[in-house]
This record gives sequence, structure tokens and C-alpha cells, in this order.
Amino acid sequence: MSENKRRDELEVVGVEEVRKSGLDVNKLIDKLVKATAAEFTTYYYYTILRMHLTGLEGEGLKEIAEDARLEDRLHFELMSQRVYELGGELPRDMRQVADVSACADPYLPENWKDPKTILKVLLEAEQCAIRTWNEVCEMTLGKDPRTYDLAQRILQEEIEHEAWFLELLYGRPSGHFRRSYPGEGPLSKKGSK
Amino acid sequence: MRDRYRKKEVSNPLIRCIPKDEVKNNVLQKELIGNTFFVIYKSDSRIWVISPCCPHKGADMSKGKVENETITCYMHGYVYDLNTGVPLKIPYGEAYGKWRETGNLEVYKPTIRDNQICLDLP
Repeated sequence: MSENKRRDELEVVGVEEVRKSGLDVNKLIDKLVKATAAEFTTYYYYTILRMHLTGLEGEGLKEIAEDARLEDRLHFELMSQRVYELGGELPRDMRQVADVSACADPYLPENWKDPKTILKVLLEAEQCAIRTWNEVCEMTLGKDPRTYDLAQRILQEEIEHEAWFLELLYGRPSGHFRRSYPGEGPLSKKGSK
Repeated sequence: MRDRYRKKEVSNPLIRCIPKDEVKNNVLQKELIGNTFFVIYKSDSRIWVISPCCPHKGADMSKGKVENETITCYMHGYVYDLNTGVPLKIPYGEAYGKWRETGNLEVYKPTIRDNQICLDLP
């Protein structure tokens, strides 16, 4: 008997309990892989976007874009573990990560010298992330407390990110001042409560 | 969410029905049938039953918008024909490569019996 087969036959109580709650574990894994992939692609593209926030106006925006970028990486790391706990896996080929992502690639806009165009790309990416993690929360509420807890922490930070970019673009107050340090991830950093 | 398709057809246990008046007009209503979710949309004269998952990235179609016998997914704006499930609009260009690809939205054909909406479950 191969090691893989034995692994398949293992009793995984943490997964069985989720299944017994009525949740389709395979569908959940599929959703989590797509959502997690989106965090990773966002982290990558935000790196490029942040690099292009140049000039006097852009300089002030870098810090906020950097917080969102680093926190999206934390989201990727936070939920990746859960995918494997549930018996799923991330795409083994990096090319597939962008293809399965729950959100569109936030490409650098052509007229990037206007920082507002970059902020609009950032905002759209955050809004897609909010919709995605909200769906995960709805799917897992009362059925899979662990995934729900992780997803709601990510969702809360994505909602904050959206508020930041709305404030920068349209002057809608977000209540934000600054993170304690870049990419703090007050809710998504492993070990945070 | 409870299974509202509780009344089983005597002659065929795979057919389950829901009273037509339990489905609101002009609202995308998500219903659990057995272990599967479906989305039902009823206008004054027509009823559509579709999959709750967008074939693009699996978004919840009950959050979409119906207009002129089409449904727009709220996540990325893909538009599908409610009658055939065929995608009518893909809002992203070639630059998005494989990511933009989608399939047909799953559509189901309900029948009306004694003022009930009935589905032949697969």
C-alpha cells in the first residue's frame, strides 16, 4: 500500500466534522484555493503598483499601498495552511495560480503617472477580495468555525483596505491613521487575536 | 437553510416541488434541494432555475442582477442567458488570458404542477 493511499484512508476528524455539518468540503477547498490565489497574485501585482506610485503625490500613497500589499501576503499565508488541513492543495504550477485566482490581475494601468489610476486598480482588487471572503464567511458560518474565523479576520482587513483607498480617491473618511508598522496585519498575522 | 422542496412526487421520488407562492417575484432566491443549492427567479410569467455558482470563478449567482432574461454575476460582471446559460458578455480582454475563460451557466427546466414549481433532481 502506497503512502498516499494510507494518507487518504486516515480518519481526519477536523474534516469529518466539517462534512457532517453539511458543508461540501471539496467546494469549500475550491473556493479557498481561488481566494488564497487571489491574495498571492494581489501581493505580486501590488508590488508593481507600489513601485509606480511616484512623484510628490505618489510618495504619500506608498505607505498605504505597502500596508495593503504586505497584509495580502499575510492573508495568503494564513489561509494556505487551512487549505492543506482540509485536504486540499495549492496549484503546484505558479502559472495556474493566476488562472484560478478569484480576482482579476490588478495590472499596472497604462497612465500610471496619475496615481489615481493606480488607486482605482487597488480599490477594485480590494472590493473583489471583500466579495470573495464574504462568500467564504457565509459558506462556513455555523459549519466550519476555524475557516470562518480565519476568513472573517481577512475580510475585516480587506474592508479596511477598501476604506483607505476610498478615502484617498474620494475623500470619504475611513477612520484610518496608520499601522503600527508596515503590513502589521492586526487580525491576520499568525498568533494575532 | 431548510430544504423547501419537501413535497416529493409520489410517482417519482426524484421530483421535488415547492409551492409557487413561496418564491418571491423578481428576486433571486437561493434554495437548498436535498444537498444541492439552486437559484430560482420568478417573474410574472416565467420561472428560471439555475446553478448558484458562476461558471467563471464560482461566485454566488443569487447576488447577481436579472435583466431581459439575462443574469449578470456580481463578482466580475459576466452576463449569461438565463434560458440557455450561454455567456453573453465577458468583461475582460485577452490580456487576462486563461483567467477570463468561462463556461455555460447550468440551467434547469422546472415544470409547473398544481401551482407548484417542480424539479427533476439529477
